[in-house]
Amino acid sequence: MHTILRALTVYLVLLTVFRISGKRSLGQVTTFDFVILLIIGDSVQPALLGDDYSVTNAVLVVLTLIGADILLSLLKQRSRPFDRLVEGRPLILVQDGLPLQDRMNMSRVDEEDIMEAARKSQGLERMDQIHYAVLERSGEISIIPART
Amino acid sequence: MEPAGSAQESSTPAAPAEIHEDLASERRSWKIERAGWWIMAVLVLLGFLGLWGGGPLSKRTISTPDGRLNVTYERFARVNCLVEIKVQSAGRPSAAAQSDSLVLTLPNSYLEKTLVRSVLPQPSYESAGPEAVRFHFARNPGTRATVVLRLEHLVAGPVTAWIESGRPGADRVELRQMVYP
Repeated sequence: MHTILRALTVYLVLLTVFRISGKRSLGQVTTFDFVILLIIGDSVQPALLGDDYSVTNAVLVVLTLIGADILLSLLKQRSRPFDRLVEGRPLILVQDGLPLQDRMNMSRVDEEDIMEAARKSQGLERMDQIHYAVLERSGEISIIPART
Repeated sequence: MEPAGSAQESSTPAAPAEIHEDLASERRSWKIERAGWWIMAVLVLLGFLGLWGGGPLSKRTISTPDGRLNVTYERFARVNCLVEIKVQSAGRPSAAAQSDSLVLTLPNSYLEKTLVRSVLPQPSYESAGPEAVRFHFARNPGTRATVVLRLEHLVAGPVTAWIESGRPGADRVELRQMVYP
């Protein structure tokens, strides 16, 4: 019983903390983000297993986490408000070459992030070549180039 | 007219229908995020100060009115986390050796929820009673002695214990701890 409660608690806490930390936390993994993710993984492992390193305990933890993930995805599918709560929605950050500054500030995205995404995904050089830059739910920035 | 180079206006009336953004919901989300950051900061600060165990807010020393028995312990602890209880007991210079032994008594209800990792110094012997276990330590009569117990709590929740030194009921202090999961 304790194993399952621990696993569920850790899962929900991580979900909440990452949701509160904003979309950008997982969308683009920089070296800094990678270090954080690595350390978080090591930090929660003892809380999940406790003193019990048996195969049974490990399997219970894995099944609980996967089960919680499946349940969450079913809930998201069935309930739009819940889906929005957990995943959020895409957000336009640049329209027709013009950055929407207050949205970018609140999302903690700067023009350099957008230009990096534009170069990587579309090979664009300038902001005015962007029709839309969208901050996706995953935290990635997708670029729709202007039609020439 | 918007200034060239950036748009301060945050609504996009011409957004394509297929990009399902919802700015009102996004703004609510941002407010909740900011509130969440403050809550996280407060939790970390309280943790630094020791409210969740291990820090100035957690360390506590209690004594008998005459100061003969002092116990320093962690008021806030966590499950499976090693904590220390330091017991200092003053001897009775005029007492005979047998009546001035250092005997620590811990209730069974406390010991059942903890795992005692070490007792320093080692007790000469332990005796189990219906309500408590008594740890007997050798000491020079009339001298002040210190015993350090290192233990782990196994069960979360509030815990109360009492520590006696010497004859039952002679010097006694009560410990209250909150053990977090």
